[in-house]
Amino acid sequence: MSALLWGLIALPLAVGALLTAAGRYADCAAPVVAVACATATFGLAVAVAFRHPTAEAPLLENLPVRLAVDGLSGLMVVTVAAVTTVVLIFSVGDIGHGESRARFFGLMLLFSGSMLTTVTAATLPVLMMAWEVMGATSWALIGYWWRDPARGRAANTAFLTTRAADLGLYLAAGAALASGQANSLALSELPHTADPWLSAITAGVIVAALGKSAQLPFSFWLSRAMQGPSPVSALLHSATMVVAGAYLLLRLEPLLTASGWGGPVVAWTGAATAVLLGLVAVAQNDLKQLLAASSCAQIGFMVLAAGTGAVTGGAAQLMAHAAAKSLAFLVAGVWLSTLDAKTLPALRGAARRHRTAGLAFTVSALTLAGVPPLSLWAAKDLLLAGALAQSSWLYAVGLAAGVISAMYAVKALWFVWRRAPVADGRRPTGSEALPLVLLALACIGLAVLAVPPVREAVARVLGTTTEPVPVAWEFVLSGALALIASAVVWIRGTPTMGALWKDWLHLEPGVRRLLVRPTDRLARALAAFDDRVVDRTVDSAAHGVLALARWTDRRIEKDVDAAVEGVASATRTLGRWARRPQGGQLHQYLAQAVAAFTALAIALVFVR
Amino acid sequence: MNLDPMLLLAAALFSIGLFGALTQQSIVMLMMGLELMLGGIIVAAAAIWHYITPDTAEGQVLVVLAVTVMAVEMAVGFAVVTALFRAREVDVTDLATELRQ
Repeated sequence: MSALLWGLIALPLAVGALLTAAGRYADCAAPVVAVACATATFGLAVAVAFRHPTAEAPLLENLPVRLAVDGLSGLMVVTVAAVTTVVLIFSVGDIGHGESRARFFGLMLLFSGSMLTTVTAATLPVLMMAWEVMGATSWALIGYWWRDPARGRAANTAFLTTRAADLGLYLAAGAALASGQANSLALSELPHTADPWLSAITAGVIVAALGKSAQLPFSFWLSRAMQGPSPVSALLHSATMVVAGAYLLLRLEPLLTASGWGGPVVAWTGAATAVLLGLVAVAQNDLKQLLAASSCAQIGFMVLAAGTGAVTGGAAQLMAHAAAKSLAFLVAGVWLSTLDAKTLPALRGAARRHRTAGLAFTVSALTLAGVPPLSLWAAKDLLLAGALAQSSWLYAVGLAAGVISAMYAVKALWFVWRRAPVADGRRPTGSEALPLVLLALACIGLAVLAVPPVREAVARVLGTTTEPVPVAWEFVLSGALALIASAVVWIRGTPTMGALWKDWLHLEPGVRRLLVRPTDRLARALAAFDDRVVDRTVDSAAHGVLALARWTDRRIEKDVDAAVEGVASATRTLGRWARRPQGGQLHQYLAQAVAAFTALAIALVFVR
Repeated sequence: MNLDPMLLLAAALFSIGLFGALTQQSIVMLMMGLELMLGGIIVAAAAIWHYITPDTAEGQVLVVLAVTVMAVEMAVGFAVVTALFRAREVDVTDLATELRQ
């Protein structure tokens, strides 16, 4: 049983590590090996999802590595493995023969393997390891074309941002250990700690999750992450890195509930991200940037779900979004490589040019827009039912975010369906077209989430049957809003937005100004302080000691030496004097005695 | 005659000898002083034996021993002086100082 689970994470990690390490030598074999490995992983994932095994191995004293698959993990591993397989099949065509394919496929496998480890981890240490490997491989993948310095810088930005937020997990782990109530650091034990540790754990987990999921205020890194290859974006935005934060919050939803304040904070952050980043997406003119902002917004919904305890809705949103978003990115990648067009005006008519890609993109965009009966419509209502149970304001904000998501999705659609002469590019290859079809079918197929029996089955699998479920008018309302918004945008276009929205709310410049530059300045000031004060103090202390030593040598030592010499020579002189009367000549002794007695006598005479 | 004049004689001999030993620079004269001191001691020892314990023999033995010691000592002394004089024409103590230190 547990062998399945070990295999599930060991297979992609091992193959990925081997391919990455082999480098150029494995370029020819890499695509085949990687796709085969991903397919096998997908098979394992399905098996694991049905069997729900657990596995345990010793790691540290009282801190075992524990992997477990429950309902949520089962859905996640299937999603991750499926999207990985599809994206890798697409990459066979997209990452051509000229590229270093072994490195690409190896890193992608490592990336998804670490995500699989993250979603099956049952204890914090193994979760943190997987979390870190994911961050490192995301850096290597975003900076895949490392010869371009801009891409390297983008990778650094993305990595440093997420890595800074990751420190929250260390805070959480430290607080859990300090509390003494979660000694094995199992995720299920965390909610049972007492304040103040509970608050520290919650805060750390929230910060780490928001950073990974590019929620406000960390969203800007996702914009920079677009510098990587399209398959990377497709995987990173749909089923790995970015949803890892949302997954963590869904997994630790009991913790948010236990802390009391965590739920509302997370819910409102998710809602705010969904609205604001949705507006950012509406403002974008570059398709990939639009999709990136939309990822932030859609994941905002999952975070909102985690905050309100609507785990079913969050998981449904996660799966549906994974299919739709990976599809959208793959289509964007197809157009980028076939038409060499990225901006929306340049993409006019792209959908008419390649019908397969165009129809796939339409399915994906309508899914993102929340148009009934597609999957995200139902998933959104599931999670908004939880929001409505909490507060009607939150529900209203969630609905507004849904309308905004319809706006940006339809904006992209409108551009690609324009009648416009399109520059002739190459046609997508079979390995590029197949994943698009598969994902489009998945998007359509996941629409069954709206059907109550299916929904209840999902809730049963997740063990969340007690959550609020949406009633009919909510479905009707959100569907109608999405349709109306889509129609309005299709006819009237989107309003022109200011530079604030185009530039992702100025988050990155803001962070640079508020955090990076002060940190740099502080570092420089400290370095200068170190050089000019600490170092110089040490140096001058040494110089001072040397000078003092020289002065002592010149002055005092000479005197001391002279004194010693003086004592010695005086002693010698005294010795010479003392030897002089002791000549061994008796007659001289007599003379001396006579002289002495004479002197004594005279003294006696005079003194008396 | 009784003990007192004899002891006076011995003391006088000893004092004259000591004065000679202390004041003379010539080695020969110095040794004469030593002779006189020993002579005084012999006289004192003999007088004390004769007047105080005439019926024992230890005093006589002591006197004979002292005379013998004096003779041996003088023989050695004069031999050294003679050798010194022959080697370096030295006859005063101030010049015979190479054994110092």
